[in-house]
Amino acid sequence: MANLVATELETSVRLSGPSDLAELRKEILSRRDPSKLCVTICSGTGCHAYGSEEVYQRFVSEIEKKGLQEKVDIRRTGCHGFCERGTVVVVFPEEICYLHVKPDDIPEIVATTLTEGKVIERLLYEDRDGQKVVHEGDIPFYKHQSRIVFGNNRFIDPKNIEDYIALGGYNALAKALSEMTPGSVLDEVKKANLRGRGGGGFPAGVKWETTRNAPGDIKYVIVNADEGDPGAYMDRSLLEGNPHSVIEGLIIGAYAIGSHEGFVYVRQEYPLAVENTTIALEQARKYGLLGRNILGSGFDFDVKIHRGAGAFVSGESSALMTAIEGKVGEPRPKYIRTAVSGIWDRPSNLNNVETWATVPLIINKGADWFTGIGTKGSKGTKIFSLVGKVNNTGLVEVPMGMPLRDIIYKIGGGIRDGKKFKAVQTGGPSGGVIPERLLDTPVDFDELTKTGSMMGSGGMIVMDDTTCMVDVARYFLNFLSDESCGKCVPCREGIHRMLEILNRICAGEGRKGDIELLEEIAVAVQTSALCALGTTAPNPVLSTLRYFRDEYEAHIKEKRCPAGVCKALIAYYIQPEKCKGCMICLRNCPVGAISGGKREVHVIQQNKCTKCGTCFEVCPARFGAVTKIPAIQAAKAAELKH
Amino acid sequence: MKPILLVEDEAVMRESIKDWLTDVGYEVETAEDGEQALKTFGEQEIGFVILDLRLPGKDGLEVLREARAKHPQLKGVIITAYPSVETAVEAIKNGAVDYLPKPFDLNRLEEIIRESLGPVQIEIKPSREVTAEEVTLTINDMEVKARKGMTVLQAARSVGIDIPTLCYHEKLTPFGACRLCAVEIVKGKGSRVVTSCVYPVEEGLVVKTESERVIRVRKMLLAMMWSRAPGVEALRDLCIKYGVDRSKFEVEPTYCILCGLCVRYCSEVKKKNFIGFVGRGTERQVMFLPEADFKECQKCGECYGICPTGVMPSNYGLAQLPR
Repeated sequence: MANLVATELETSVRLSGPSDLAELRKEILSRRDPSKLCVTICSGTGCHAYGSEEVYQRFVSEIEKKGLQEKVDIRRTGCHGFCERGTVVVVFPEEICYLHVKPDDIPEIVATTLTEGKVIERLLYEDRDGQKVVHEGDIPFYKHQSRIVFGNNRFIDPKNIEDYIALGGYNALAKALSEMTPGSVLDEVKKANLRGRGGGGFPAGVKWETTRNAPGDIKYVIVNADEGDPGAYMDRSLLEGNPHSVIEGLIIGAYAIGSHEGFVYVRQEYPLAVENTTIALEQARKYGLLGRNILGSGFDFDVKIHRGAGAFVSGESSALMTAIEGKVGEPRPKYIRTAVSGIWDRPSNLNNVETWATVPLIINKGADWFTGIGTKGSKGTKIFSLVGKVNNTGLVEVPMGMPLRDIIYKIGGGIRDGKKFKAVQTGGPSGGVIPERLLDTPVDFDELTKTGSMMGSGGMIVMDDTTCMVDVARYFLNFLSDESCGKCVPCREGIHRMLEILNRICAGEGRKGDIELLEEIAVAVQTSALCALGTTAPNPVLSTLRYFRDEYEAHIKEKRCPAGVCKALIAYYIQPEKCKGCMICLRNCPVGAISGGKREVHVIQQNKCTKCGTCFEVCPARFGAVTKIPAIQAAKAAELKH
Repeated sequence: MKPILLVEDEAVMRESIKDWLTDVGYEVETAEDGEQALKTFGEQEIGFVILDLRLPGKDGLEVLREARAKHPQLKGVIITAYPSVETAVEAIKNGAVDYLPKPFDLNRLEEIIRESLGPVQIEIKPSREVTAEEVTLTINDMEVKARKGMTVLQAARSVGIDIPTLCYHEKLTPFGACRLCAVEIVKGKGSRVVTSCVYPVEEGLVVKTESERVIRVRKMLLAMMWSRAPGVEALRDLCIKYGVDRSKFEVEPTYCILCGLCVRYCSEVKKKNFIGFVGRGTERQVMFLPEADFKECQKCGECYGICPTGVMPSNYGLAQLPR
C-alpha cells in the first residue's frame, strides 16, 4: 500500500499559489478514470475490528491472482458510518454496497462483481420487507442523512492527500488566503452562526473574534480531539477518515484569528487518528499547504500533535490547555476566558474536531448556504454516534431540526429484537435521558437543553425497557467519579456521595429521603463546581429523576427493579408449567445452582444463584421458561416453602 | 537585604549559581576575577561573598582577606575544585564561615547563606496586576470602590465584609478548591454563583455574599468537608455559624480537605516543590515527593502553620526520619 502512495507523491510539487492548486487538481483528475472499477474498503477503527485489514489483503492477492491489477483500483477509505454492518465495501463506479464482508467473500466478489459485473444478493442490505438495496445512497440508514461533513470519508484514503485535493480539498483555504481578508473570513463564520460541536454550542465566530481581538502577538488555535464521552466516536472517525478536512479548517481559522501555531490534542487511546493526522500534516507541509508562506500568501502556520494521557477531564478546554503546558490536566477557573488568556496566558482558541471540519464548507459555499440548513438557533448538520438498542448502529449526520424519532426509527431502523423504546440518552455524562413522549423534539441545541438533556458532543444511546434508569444514572456517576480531577470539593465529594446513594439504591438498600438528598447534593454541585464536568455531573441523576421517578421509588420503597437489571433486586425463576426439562440451563449454570433431571421440572436454588443470567439466555425461545422476578417475591416464596 | 557577590571565573558555574540563588529570592551580583570583585566592594555594600579559590590574578583567599580588611562584618564562603586541608584552614583563618569543595550541594550553599544573611523576605505578589483604574461595585447593598485587577474577595475584605475561605491565602495564588467563598453575582437579568477568590471586580457588579443560594451551597460544602476532617476546629466554627448538620454524611476521615495550601506554599514561597498532589478524584492526596530533602523539611516546617486541619504537622511528625 505504501508503494501506491509513494508513486503518486513522487511527482509532488510545492504549490506556490491557488493556480498551482487548481492545476494539480486538474492533473490528478486527468490521471483518474471515473469509470474505472474501484473497490473501496472501509478502514475506520470499527471495520478494523471486524477485520477490514484482512479483507484488504485478500482483495490485493485475489486481484493479482486474476491479473486484474490494471483494471481495478483498491482504496482503503475512512469510516463510512454504518458500523453495525462492517466491513463495508463499496464498488465504484456503480456504488454497489456490500455489508458484513468477510475475507472468504472476496473470491466471489472478484469473480462475480468485478469480472462479470453482477451483484451478490446475500451481501446486500435487506430492509424489513425483504427488499434488497444495491446502492449505498439508497439504504435507509444513509438515505435520510445529510452527510455534508462526514460524507467524503468514503471517497478518500486518509493517507493520500491527493484524494482530498481531487474532491476539491484546500480550495477553501486558497479562497480564504487569496480572495479574503482575515476579517472577512471571520465575518463569514460569524454570519454562518456555526456553534461549537463539542457540546458547549458556543458560537465559534464569537470565540474567534475574542481571540483575534485579545492583546498579544502570539495566539494559538487548538483542535480538541480528546473525545471522552462513553460511546461517542464521531471525532475519531473524522480525524481517522478525513484529517485534511480538519487541518484545512484549522488553517483557515488561524488565518482569521492571526495565529501561527496550532495544536491537535488527541486522546491517548486513538492511535489510528494520531497516525493518519501525522501523515496528513507531513503531506500538507510537502505541498506547501502548511508551514511557511502557505500557498504563496505570506501566511505562516504550523501544527503540533499533543497526545493525551488517559483522562476525561483533560477534554475540558482549560484543563486541555494546562496539559499542553506540560502540567497535569486540571481545569482552572474561567472567569478570564481562555480566548484571552489560555496556553501560557496567551489568547487561545479551542474548537472541536467537527467544528473545524465544517469551516471549509462555510468558506466554499458561503454562510447563506449554511444558514439555509437547520433551525433558527442551530445551523448546519450534526454528526451523532447512534448506539444502543437500535437495529442500525453507527455514525449518522443529520440536519439540525430533524426530530429524534426520525433518527431512531427512519435511520436507526427502530428498536432491536422487537422491544419497546424507553428513552434516548444524549450528551454523555453531562446529558440526560429523553422519554418517548418527547421523541418529536428536534435536534437543536436549545430544544434539547429544554428537555433537561443537551446536544453534547453527539453521543446518542437508545434504551429499551430492559434498561434500568437508576442503573443508567449510577453508570454515569461511576464514570465521573473515576474521571473527576478531584480539585474542588463539590465535584469530588458530591459525585462520591451521590454515587454512594445510588449504589445503595441499586443494592436494595435505598432509604426514605434518598431521593431528596440526591436532589440537594445535585443542586450544590451544579452551582459551585469549578468546571463543566462537575456542574453537569448531576444531569444524569436529575434527568432520570425527572422522567422516571417511579423507577427510583420502586427500587427504594418496594425493593423492586422494574427493568429487571439490578442484580440484588431480581431473582431468576423457572416457571414450572413452561419447563420441559431439557437440561440446557442446568448444564450451563456456572455454579450448579439448578437442580432437576431429564423431563423433570428444573428449579433454581436461590441461595447458590449468582444472577449471571446464563439460564435466561440459553433457555430455548420456544419454551421461554426462565423469567426474572423481584427478589423479594422469591424470598417470600422460599419462606412459604419452609 | 544586602546583595550577595559571587566571584567565579567559569561562566557556566557562575550563571547556574546565580540563577539558583536568584530563584530563592536573593539579589546576586557577579564578578569574574579578584579585581572586579574588589571594585564591587568599593561601590556597594555586599552582605555575603562566594569566592572561588582559583581565580585569574588574585586568588580567592587574597580577595577575602583584602575585602574583610576594609569591611570586617563581611561574611563569605570559599568554593573550590581543588580542596585541601591547608587551604581549608587558611580559608577559615581568613574569615570564611565555611569551605565547600566542588561539586557541592546548592541546598547546602543556601543553608550557609541563610545562616549568615537570614531568610529571604517574602513579598506579597498578587496573581494579576492590580492597576490604578478605579472600579465601583456593590457588595451586600454597599457601594465599594476597588481597583481593576482585584478580586471580589479582596474588594470585600478591604471594607470589612467577611467571606469565609479555607483554601485562600493572601500570599499564594488563588486556587478555587474549597468553593466556600462562593458569592452570588447579578449581571443584567440573571444571577449566578461564582468563587470570589478568583472573580475579578467589574464596574457595576452587584454581589451578594450571604444570599439564600450561597448559604445553601456553603452548608453542603461544609457538611462534605466535615465528613473528611471531623472535629477540626476551623471547620467546627464554620459549621456552627452556618447551622450545618454535621451528621449529614457518614464520616470517611482523611483529615485532609485538599485545599492545596501546603502545595502552593512550598512551590511559590519556598520554591522547592517538595509537596504535590498525586492521584485523581477521591484518590487524590497530598504527598511529599520522594526526592524531597527531609533535612530541609525538618529545618523549614513552614507548611505546618498554614494547614487548616492540622494534618500536615501530625502526618509529618509521624514520618520524621532520624537525623
